Amino acid sequence: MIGRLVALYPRGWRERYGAEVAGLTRELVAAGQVSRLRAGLDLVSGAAGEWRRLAVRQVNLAPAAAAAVGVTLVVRATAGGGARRPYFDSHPASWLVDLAELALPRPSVSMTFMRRRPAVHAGLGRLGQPRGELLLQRGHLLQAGDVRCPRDERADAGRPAAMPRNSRRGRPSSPCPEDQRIYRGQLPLKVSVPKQPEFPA
Amino acid sequence: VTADSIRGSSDRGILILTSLAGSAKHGYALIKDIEEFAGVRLGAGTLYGAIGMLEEAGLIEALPAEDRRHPYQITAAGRDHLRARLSEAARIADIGLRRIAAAPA
Repeated sequence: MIGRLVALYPRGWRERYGAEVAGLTRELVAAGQVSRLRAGLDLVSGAAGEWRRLAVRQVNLAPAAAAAVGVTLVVRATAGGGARRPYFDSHPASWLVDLAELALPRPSVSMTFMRRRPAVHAGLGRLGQPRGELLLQRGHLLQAGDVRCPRDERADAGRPAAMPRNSRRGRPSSPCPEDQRIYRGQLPLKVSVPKQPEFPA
Repeated sequence: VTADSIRGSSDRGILILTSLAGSAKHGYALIKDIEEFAGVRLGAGTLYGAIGMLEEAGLIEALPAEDRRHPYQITAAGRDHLRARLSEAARIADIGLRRIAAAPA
């Protein structure tokens, strides 16, 4: 009976104190210090109290989570998004990546989806600043962050650094030879980027 | 005054801290000691509910298990907390007793 009543406690509490509280209850009952009924009621009452504490703690975390989501949406709305990671524009759930980045220390690694297939996004830098970024899918490097061609620099002078554009279709709008590419991010990359990445349909 | 102020109190944390202020104890010894000095018999569930909160707050800490039971000891933060709470209780009790003594019968 005692074991069943201890099972009423939240798992975390039970794993930490369950064996001790069960052993002590048996000891008190065996010594005649407390009746079985009273011991049972005490355990039920204690379990209810622990669940209440757990619920209160989760409610207390709710405002923090809501604030994090709010900050993410504001940052995304005001930052334009495209300057930082235009290849995520194609997915409506890209704000989840922003949210994960807020929660994770830099450098960050997160899962995302590219054309409905799982991909790994790795970044290094500060929020809102140019970043070195990689997007890998099925073992292939799809994009490297802050990659620019010289003519992009001239044409887009004054605009924030951007990834190869039109990535919605998976094709850089201004491909240039690898040896002319400028890696402006914090990752001094020299990687083999397909000129026309083939995204799964 | 302090003993009277906490006798029958629902603040189990203070009872546990007071008990552990003397020496480290496991659950059964805590229940016996608290019953002896405060006249309050705590159940196992009640006791460990309070122990969980005190440990989470860093006021007590578990020692290595002996015979599958963890003794608990008060921490430095626990001593400070207990000292502050008992001083406050003693101050209020002193004021209350003086007012009762000064009041007309």
